[in-house]
Amino acid sequence: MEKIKFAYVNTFGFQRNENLFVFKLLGRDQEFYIALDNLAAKAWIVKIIQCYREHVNLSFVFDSQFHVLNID
Amino acid sequence: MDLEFEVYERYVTAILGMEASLTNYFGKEIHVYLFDNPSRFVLFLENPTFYNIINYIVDAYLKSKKVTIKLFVDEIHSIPHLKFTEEEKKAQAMEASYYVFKNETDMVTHSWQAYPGYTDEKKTKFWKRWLSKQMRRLDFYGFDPYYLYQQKLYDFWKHHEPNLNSFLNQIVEIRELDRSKIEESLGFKIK
Repeated sequence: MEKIKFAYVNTFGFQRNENLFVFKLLGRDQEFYIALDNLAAKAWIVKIIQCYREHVNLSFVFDSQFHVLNID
Repeated sequence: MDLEFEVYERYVTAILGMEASLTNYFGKEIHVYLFDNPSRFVLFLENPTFYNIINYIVDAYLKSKKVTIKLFVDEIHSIPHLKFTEEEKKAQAMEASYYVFKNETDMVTHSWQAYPGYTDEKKTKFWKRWLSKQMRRLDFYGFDPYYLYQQKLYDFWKHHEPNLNSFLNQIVEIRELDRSKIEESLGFKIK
């Protein structure tokens, strides 16, 4: 489990084939993922888009495969 | 001049947040792709119903439902069936206008950092340009342009320009704006 504090979202998109929402944080090449069937997917996606638009600081918790476990 | 809008009913095939650095405000826009259509449609960040549109299209994408969206050329203008009260529209206009004045203003020929060093003549041009631009924008999105004048944004402007009322009064004269509507929206007199 990895935690990244105070990050900004730089880009995002959906991968229909993989059933994933994919995003990158500013200054990082790593892609991060949200499974679209996750019950929290929509709430997290809207938070991420808010972060993209407004530069709101977010903290992310990921698993070893860079899938989101939580967003604050 | 009447603008020509189109209404599309389609499945959403992709939603992309274009890559942009922290300082490249104008590089940031959201592209939406619709089924059976090669074009990409842009959702601009300053759209007053931005979050309503995002919630709607993300929800439709996740549930594989069709969306009905109103377009102006390649821009997503609004969602026709979403209706708002005037109080809600006033709050949306405030949020979007505050966003523009806080972010976009700094990205063009003028900037808040440089503003204190402007001559009065340049300050007048600044207010004339930005107030007119944002009023036109609100009008385009179907909002009362006088909703621009609200306490939160007034306080933000006043923070940067202590002599704000003097400039507002000049712009009222130059642009022949309705002073009573500005004062009604603000809740106080500016003269």
